[in-house]
Amino acid sequence: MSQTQHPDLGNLDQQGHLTLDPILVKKVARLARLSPNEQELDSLSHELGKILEHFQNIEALETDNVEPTYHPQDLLDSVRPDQVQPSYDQSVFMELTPKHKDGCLMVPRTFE
Amino acid sequence: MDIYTLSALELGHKIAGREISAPEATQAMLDRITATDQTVKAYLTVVPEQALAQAALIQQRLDNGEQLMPLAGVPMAIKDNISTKGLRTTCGSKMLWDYVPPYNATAADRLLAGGAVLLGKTNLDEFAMGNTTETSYGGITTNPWASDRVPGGSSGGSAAAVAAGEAVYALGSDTGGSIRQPASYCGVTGLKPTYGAVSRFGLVAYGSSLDQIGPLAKTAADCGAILAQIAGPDSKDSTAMPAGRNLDTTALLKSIEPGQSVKGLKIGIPAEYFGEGLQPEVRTAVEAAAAQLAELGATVEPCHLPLVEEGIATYYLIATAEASANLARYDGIQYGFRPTGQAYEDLADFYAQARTEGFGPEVRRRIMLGTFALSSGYYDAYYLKALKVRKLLQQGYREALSRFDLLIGPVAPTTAPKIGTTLSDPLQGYLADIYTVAANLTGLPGLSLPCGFDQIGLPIGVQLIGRAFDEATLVRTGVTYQEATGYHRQSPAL
Repeated sequence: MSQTQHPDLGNLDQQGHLTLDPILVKKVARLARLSPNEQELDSLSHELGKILEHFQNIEALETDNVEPTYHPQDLLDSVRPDQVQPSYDQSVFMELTPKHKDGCLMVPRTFE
Repeated sequence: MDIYTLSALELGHKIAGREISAPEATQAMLDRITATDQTVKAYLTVVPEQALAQAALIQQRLDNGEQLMPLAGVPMAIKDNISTKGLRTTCGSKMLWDYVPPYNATAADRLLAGGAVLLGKTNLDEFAMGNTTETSYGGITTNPWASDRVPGGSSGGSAAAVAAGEAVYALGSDTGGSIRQPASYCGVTGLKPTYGAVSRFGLVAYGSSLDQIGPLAKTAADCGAILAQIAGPDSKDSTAMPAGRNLDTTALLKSIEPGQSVKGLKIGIPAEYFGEGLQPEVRTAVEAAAAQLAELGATVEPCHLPLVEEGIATYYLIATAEASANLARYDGIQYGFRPTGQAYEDLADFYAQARTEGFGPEVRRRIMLGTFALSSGYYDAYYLKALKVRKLLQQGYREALSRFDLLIGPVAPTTAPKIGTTLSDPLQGYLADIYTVAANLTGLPGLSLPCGFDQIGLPIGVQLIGRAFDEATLVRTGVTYQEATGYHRQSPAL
């Protein structure tokens, strides 16, 4: 992998492997709703860099006129009759929540 | 005769013929679990009382002359990412450690309705993300053939349970090889059905365009019988194909009958499946299996498949992108793990804390990779590119299977590695999926059959890939091969 292919991804380390820019890793972590500590951020920069470097073996493949495939089968619209079916009582699922009160989910206080 | 050595169809036959009762079979399996699972650690949850009560009920129904499935009364296990009503379904994750589903997965429901006896839930890589069963919050499962080796994954608990005689058969799930590879490492038979053959309702989602539930058992015939029971359309899963477009259950059940033949079948042996990194003993055993099928009457010819190496990148970009979306539901509020006793800046901070603490390192890594592939600025170069390569791969396999009835190759490049040797380098772990991911990307069915042992006695598997919804030909070939060979009858000394 050459740095010029994706200069925005990061830098090459001493072994010549891609290390993702920590700012990019932090941005992805924020999007993923994860909060890695500094040590994990460093590991992720190296691990994801190495993985993405290898994954660039698909970059050179000619795919300009290829349709993306979202699904393995040629699926038709699969619909069932629009009929009312019995379902579970709300309380069944409410019991699964870590905290609930009077049929409502409880979330941590975030405003004082 | 030890009950735990019987195949599912053999035991089902003896139960139907009143030679063995369902409670007797269940007690024998529970005794086996007590004797060996301290070493193997295949189960996350065992339910002795429930299993015995269920067995007594099945026996009563059989005694009343009720028509149940041929496997009625046979004790089995279910991978712990497949929902079981009232029974903890953890996904091997701290996030769902205390989660008890209020419903059964359709596949589980169909087996239980047919008279299956559920022994418990088996271990897996966390959220089925891995190929060693080392990333579970519940600990590591060991390979019954060598306790210092991994059982494979992610359905490692299911494979190890069957190999150890702790379940007569088990359900697993396969997103990139998670049924076939552990089956290969543990010397059992595993079948990944065609995408859409089996309902995914109640299977905790990982990569929704790739996931399929399927059986792990001692024989190909058992796998066929189990698949016939769980396959078919389901109003709860729009991707489960409707009757007529789904597999032919009658043909599938015919394929498990003794006296099958592979005469006239054309089998392709792709050169790209025998490249660098393939353990010599695996190559020899797989080539011998192909030669055996040729001796039994099939025509085996060399062929080529495109993009075998590129399949890894294609798979991991698509699977992790889908995973990052699927696992967005775990927010620490609606269900699952919720951190306590901390201060949070805002809800986003709370979500991040819950997810960072609730998910293990490999799950977090895959969520990161998938989020990156879907993020603005990188979507076209990674996710969209992978979707397009997937199309090329599908075209290549479609073309090959227009000339051949089946393709044959290894399941994995090596036999089971030692525990602790692959987790340190995630990329190396991903590369080990080279021979299995294509069946998921293309949606094609794949069967893993025991075909030999390496020098230190670890099992080797051979993989057959068939046409979409033609599991009957796969199973027929497996049955024929197993009638002529004895690898599947070997058991580990425990």
